[in-house]
Amino acid sequence: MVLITDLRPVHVVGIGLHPYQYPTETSYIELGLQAVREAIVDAGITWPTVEAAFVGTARLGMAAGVPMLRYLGMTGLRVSQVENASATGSTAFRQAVAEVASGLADVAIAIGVDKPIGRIAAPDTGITPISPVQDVPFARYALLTERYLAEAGYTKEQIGLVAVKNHNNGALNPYAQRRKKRTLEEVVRPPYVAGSLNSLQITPIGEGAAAVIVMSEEAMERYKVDQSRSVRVAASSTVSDQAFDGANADVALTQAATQAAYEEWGGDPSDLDVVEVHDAFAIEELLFVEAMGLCPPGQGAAELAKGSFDIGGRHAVSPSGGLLSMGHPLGPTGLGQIAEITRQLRGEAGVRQQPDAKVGLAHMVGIGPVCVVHILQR
Amino acid sequence: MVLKDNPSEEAGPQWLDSERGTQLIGWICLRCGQRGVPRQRFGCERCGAPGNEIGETRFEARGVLRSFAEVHRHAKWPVPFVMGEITLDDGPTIHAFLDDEVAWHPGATVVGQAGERLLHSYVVFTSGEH
Ligand SMILES: [Zn+2]
Repeated sequence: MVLITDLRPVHVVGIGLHPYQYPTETSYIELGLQAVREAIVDAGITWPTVEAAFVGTARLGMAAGVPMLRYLGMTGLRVSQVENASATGSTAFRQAVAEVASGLADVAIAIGVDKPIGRIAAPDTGITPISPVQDVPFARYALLTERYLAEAGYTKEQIGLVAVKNHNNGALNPYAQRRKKRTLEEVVRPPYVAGSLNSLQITPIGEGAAAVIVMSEEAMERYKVDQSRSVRVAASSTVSDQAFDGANADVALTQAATQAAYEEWGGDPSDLDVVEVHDAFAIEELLFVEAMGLCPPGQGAAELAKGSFDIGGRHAVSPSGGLLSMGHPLGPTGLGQIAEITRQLRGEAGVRQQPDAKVGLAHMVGIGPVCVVHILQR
Repeated sequence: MVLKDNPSEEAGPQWLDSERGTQLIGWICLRCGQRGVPRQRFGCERCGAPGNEIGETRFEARGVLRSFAEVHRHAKWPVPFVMGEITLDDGPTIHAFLDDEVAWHPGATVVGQAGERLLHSYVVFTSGEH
């Protein structure tokens, strides 16, 4: 099997975002254009330089790309639509990276833009479920949370500390949907949405946009891109559900995808400075940091409580605020992670800066399930 | 038990009452033996055998409660209702509605029976302990 990094090197050279926010009347076009224009300025290039666009949307419906991109000037670039549930933006990024790595393009952009207006196909399989838990995602995660409380001996407070950390990080992020510091009491107390899930332990679905421009090294020379601010793509891996025989599929997929990414990168999880995790529900971060090997199995809660995953700790986990605080507009989310890691590796993350960050990992899971992991390196 | 002749391509009911109590209707791969619920005729999740090699099988609606959660918020449905994660004695782990009159605890033995939730008929699990 050929890996993306077996092909020619690809660098992130531009990032842009429209802040994530609760749904408004603002057109998705305005959201998307703001992110794309910010990415173009950040890269120091012009729009006609971009040869291919991968537009990630999960809830907008058909044909969102060209009606938005035409307002940057109709250059005739290649446009493809990408949808992969929560991992939509991550998959759009992988497609853009593959386009450049393969030599099909020198400059490509991945764009995520979304508003929660369209329908979700996954429950419409024609199979009558035993119960409609697909229609109550927070019930599924409440069951997962309660199971770990009962079987792994976690306490509500240990899980709540994930939400406290991520809300406190997001409070410092101008692009975050929820920008408020929270106490442990606030994130664990009633009322509960389901089980013992306080709504501050659940990602808010909203709207927003994110864009990332990637380039070959030849193009970076040609367009005189500032190489001190570029970040190399060191690994890209993606897997979907396998017959795991009863293991938690999201955890098993995370293990498989991160392991493949570590092999491609040639590094060890202990060397990761910044990690953006799919924390749609607080419990997920504890499961995933262990599955990724950031700490020994069963040690996630203790390491979190010690501050190992804080900004300034051993690995800064979700310094953006993660899905819990920055938000989860679906199409943009995976690209927002790439933007945060790029900012961190450039040393431009301001008050959220992980000191001397050199390597970062972005992780998303989506309905399917699917899992997408990227590693970026300074 | 394998019912090779699936009478209907429709989704159909998910359970039936037998002399042994409520049974969930599932699928079995006639090529590799993999089984699962709910029933479907699309193909085998393990070996990929097509629908004409998928038969029906039954699972006792009996198992152990792994976890449970009362749902307090839903856009369409009346709340609260209680859902559980149940590992059936016959193997698969499922999510299903629980009897909301029972003080549940993880590890409880549960049995399913026909019930109504959210204006539809579903299997609802109640305590199997006497
Ligand atoms: Zn089979």
